[in-house]
Amino acid sequence: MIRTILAVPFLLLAVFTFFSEVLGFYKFKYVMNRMHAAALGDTMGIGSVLIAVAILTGELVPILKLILVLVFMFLTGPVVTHLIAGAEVETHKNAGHEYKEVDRR
Amino acid sequence: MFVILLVLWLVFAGSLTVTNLILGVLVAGLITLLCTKFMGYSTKRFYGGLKKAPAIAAYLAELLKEIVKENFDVLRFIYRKGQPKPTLVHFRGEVQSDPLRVLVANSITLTPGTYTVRLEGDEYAVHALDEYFQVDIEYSAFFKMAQKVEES
Repeated sequence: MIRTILAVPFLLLAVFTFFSEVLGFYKFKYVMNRMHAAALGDTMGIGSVLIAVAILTGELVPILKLILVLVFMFLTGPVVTHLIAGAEVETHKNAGHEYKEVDRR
Repeated sequence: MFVILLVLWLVFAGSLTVTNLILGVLVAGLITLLCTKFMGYSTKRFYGGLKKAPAIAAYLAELLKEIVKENFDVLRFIYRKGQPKPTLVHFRGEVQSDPLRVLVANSITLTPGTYTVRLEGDEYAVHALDEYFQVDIEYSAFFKMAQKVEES
């Protein structure tokens, strides 16, 4: 019972995060902006779901496995984001109109 | 690396029995041996790198803190009226070694609100959801912590 009470806030936070992610996905107008909204679910959404599940199970081995899930999510997520962004900048001829470019080199 | 692989095996196996332990030692030993022979892995270098562990742990703690903070910043932009002003910023990051540069680039990508588009040498190209996210990004905590990892 006490575990459920502890886990529910994290689940609610996760649901709210995923909802905001979808909302942001429709609100922002361009691929490169929409990807920022997608990052929400990849980090805080998944993170709070895993924390909630870890509290609910409360055993050592499943918790270690959940930590591994998070580690692999954090290792693979940026690679995909980076590839999509790189492809968009390389192939979209008028990409420069969609954002302001600042050079501080 | 042998110890890490063995622990990983035991976590996946789910219980600490003699069979699991023997199989784990065999598999972890075999992988370590193959990596040493064909992929240039060296046990000495691995244990030499262990003294960087505290600095790396501090870096990861900072990363988690930043992720939570930036999540709420992006949420603010989602529920605010009007579109954000996206920015692509080019800058030089003061980190010397390639693995750490990649680590910083991935950390920037992992925190919502900013992601790395390109990384060549020490030149980063970072896309920010709004001008707010790119202010002083080259002096952000990631670069400071990465420099500490390098010095340790």
